[in-house]
Amino acid sequence: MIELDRLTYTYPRTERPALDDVSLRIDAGQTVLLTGRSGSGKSTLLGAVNGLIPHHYGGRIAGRVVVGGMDTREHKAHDLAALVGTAFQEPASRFITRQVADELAFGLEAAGLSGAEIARRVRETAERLQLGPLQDRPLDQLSGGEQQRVAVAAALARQPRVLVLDEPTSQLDAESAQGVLDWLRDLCRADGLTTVISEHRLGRLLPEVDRVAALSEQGRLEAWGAPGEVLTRLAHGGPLIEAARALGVPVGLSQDALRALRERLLAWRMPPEVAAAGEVRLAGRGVGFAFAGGFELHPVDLDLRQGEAVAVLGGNGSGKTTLLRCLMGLLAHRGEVQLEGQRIEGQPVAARARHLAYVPQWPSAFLFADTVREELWTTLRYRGLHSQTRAPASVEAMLGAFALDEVAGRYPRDLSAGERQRTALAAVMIAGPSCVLLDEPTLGMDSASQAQLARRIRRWKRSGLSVMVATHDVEFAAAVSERALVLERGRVAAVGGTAQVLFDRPELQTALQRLTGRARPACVSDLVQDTGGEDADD
Amino acid sequence: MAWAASAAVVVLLVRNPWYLLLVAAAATAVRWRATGERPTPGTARAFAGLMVFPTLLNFLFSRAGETVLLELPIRYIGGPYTLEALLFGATAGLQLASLLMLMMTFSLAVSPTDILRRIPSGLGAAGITASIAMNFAPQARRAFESVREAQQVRGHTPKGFRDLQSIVTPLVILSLESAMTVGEGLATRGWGSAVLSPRRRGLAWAGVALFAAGALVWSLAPQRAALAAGMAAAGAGLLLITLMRGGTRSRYRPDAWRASDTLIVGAALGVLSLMGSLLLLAPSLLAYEPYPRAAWPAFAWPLALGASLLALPAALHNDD
Repeated sequence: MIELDRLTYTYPRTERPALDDVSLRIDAGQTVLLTGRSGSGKSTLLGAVNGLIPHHYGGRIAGRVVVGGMDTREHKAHDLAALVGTAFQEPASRFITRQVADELAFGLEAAGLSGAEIARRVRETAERLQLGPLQDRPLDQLSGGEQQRVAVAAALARQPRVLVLDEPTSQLDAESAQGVLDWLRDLCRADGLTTVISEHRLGRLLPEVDRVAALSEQGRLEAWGAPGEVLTRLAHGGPLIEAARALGVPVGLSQDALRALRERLLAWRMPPEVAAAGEVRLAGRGVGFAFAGGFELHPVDLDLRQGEAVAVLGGNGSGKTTLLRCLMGLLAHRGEVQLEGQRIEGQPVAARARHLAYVPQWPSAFLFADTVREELWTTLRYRGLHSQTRAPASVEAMLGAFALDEVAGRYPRDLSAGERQRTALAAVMIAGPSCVLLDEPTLGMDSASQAQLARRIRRWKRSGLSVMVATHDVEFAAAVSERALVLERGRVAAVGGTAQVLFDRPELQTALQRLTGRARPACVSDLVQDTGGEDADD
Repeated sequence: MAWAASAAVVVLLVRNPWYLLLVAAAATAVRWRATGERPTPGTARAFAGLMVFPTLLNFLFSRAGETVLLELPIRYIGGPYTLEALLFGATAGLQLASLLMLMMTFSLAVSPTDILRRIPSGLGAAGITASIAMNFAPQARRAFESVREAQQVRGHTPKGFRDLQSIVTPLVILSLESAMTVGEGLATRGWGSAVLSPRRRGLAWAGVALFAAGALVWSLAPQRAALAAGMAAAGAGLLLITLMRGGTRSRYRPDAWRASDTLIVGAALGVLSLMGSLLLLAPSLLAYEPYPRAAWPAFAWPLALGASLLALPAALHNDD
């Protein structure tokens, strides 16, 4: 169904190819998982399959891609649309209409079907994909999971034979992500769709796919084959593979391998949990906010101690971001916020930023200087610290600490997701805050970058920094935080030690917890000694 | 859309401040009705701000006019500052602010998708380009808020106009990136797949040729203006019809045409014809020329009533 024959593609105004001599063949009805580090060319390969490459972006192409007998050098994306349905990550930014039913109909209108036929297809698609009750809802009022499902449904409405999905669950909480993946699996089996999925969360997908294609950082096909065969060769193959590797048991996804891993995990002796005993750095009492005519964050009490990390967990739309924005002063919240014992709720954002660092979701919007180095200088200028004699040395030291030396002269928005995240962190850390608020820091990050960030946060904690992380990534929360606070529909649903809080809620359990039926060990970092060494480059 | 086109033509043709104020008021009323939101002091400030800049610019640099308000012996910008220059600048500012008010109302009442769906099906690629362009402004607004917020989070207190320079580049890039993602979505959903048959392509080119021939006749023989206009109109019509019928695009839920739509379109066309005729027959009624000596702008009740018809959508319903 899909054949890539020695495909090499280079984006305009770049020298290094994004894909280098990639050849693979995907048979009809197969489901293929595409994996690799950020910037390895996964989205580019998906673009080659749906025809956006080369026609939409330009650039240089060698080799060929044939999809359902159509050579993409001769057929553009809109010609291939009848054959290939595409759902991108961040679907909300690509919705074309305002309402669910109109969005489902858009591709059918472009195909020129009659009004009656479009209405029939929209009804059928909505019913089949359980979107019936949402049909007349405005798209901007849907949850992240619902938006993702509408994006997939819109791609399927034209009844394509190939489905291309670019990180379909990257923005979803664990429960919604599992729901979307289960739903996709049933759909692909029932319709015999050929599916290519790019995804960082390997664990949940692996049992469902026929083949795995791994791309190297140079855009080459590093591995191609059955999941069990390929994953043993990957450095980051998901929590179970990494745990097996850490414990020295056979690495794989077979029943025998999982049984051996479970036995070793159950025999693993965990040290007792030690609660952070430092002074309270950041405290909130009755912190809440009500959006006009909509969502409300009900009063939240919290403490963040010196050298401690607290995870704020919860599904999409539960109020995690709202809580962080209240603490940072970006929303005119109710209640009291204390930083280092001083009440700060009346202080403007810029004043709070002297001690409190905040990195929002998608740091792209956070970066606006011409180079990575200039981002750090910008913060120093804003804070009036740029004329200090030690400023140049501080900037260079911070670039080194965040492994940004080699990209210091590059435009920040051209970097990979991991590099952008590190640039945003360096840009706030240069000011020497005592508390850091991170909102969904792993969004769009590959497993290796996530592991690096987790190591960095653990190092910060050892140096006395306090960290609050809002995340829907339970594996990451388990890896970095001692305590967790769970929000549900704007209310605090649970507070306590992270491992126990996750274990008590089945929808939040980590892969190791599900395997062992125990709260600890909860993640791979519980099994390995953290050396606190410097991170490798992204 | 007919309302917006008509109001835009009025604002662009008219320099008389009475009628410009009437159009701005009509646009505000329509916007209020469409969104349910009262005009805010912020809107009034933006309107006044747009007026102030051209007013000051003309006051400082124009030396024309007989009513001298003050005279300063400053090199380059010194000299007599006249009331006429002030009034001329203010009228230009009013025109600019009225146009902005109109565009704001239009962008709230009509989504980029509504416009996209009305682009002739033979112009698929142009549709994608138009979509990217139309999405640029709303994306720019969101990008502006993001960058401003990022500045505050990094310890900066925005200080107004001086800060704008530092965020122009990221603003443009963020907005373009966002608009391009919409373009990607359109292409992968099959937008633009309509390809003209060889016969229709021939007809489209014939339309272009006829239009060009009309323009040529106009430039070579201005006395045959009627013939030239006829040729150009026929060419444009042929091209438009060919492109509209050239594709296979259809509509899921076509807009219902209501009696009120007929009234609004009728009023819009009426205002357009009235202003067009006056421009040809009595252009002084639409103009306001404060030079060489300031005088009150002319006011004609029939014209004011005509301009007021643009407020009709506010009285009927909130669609286009």
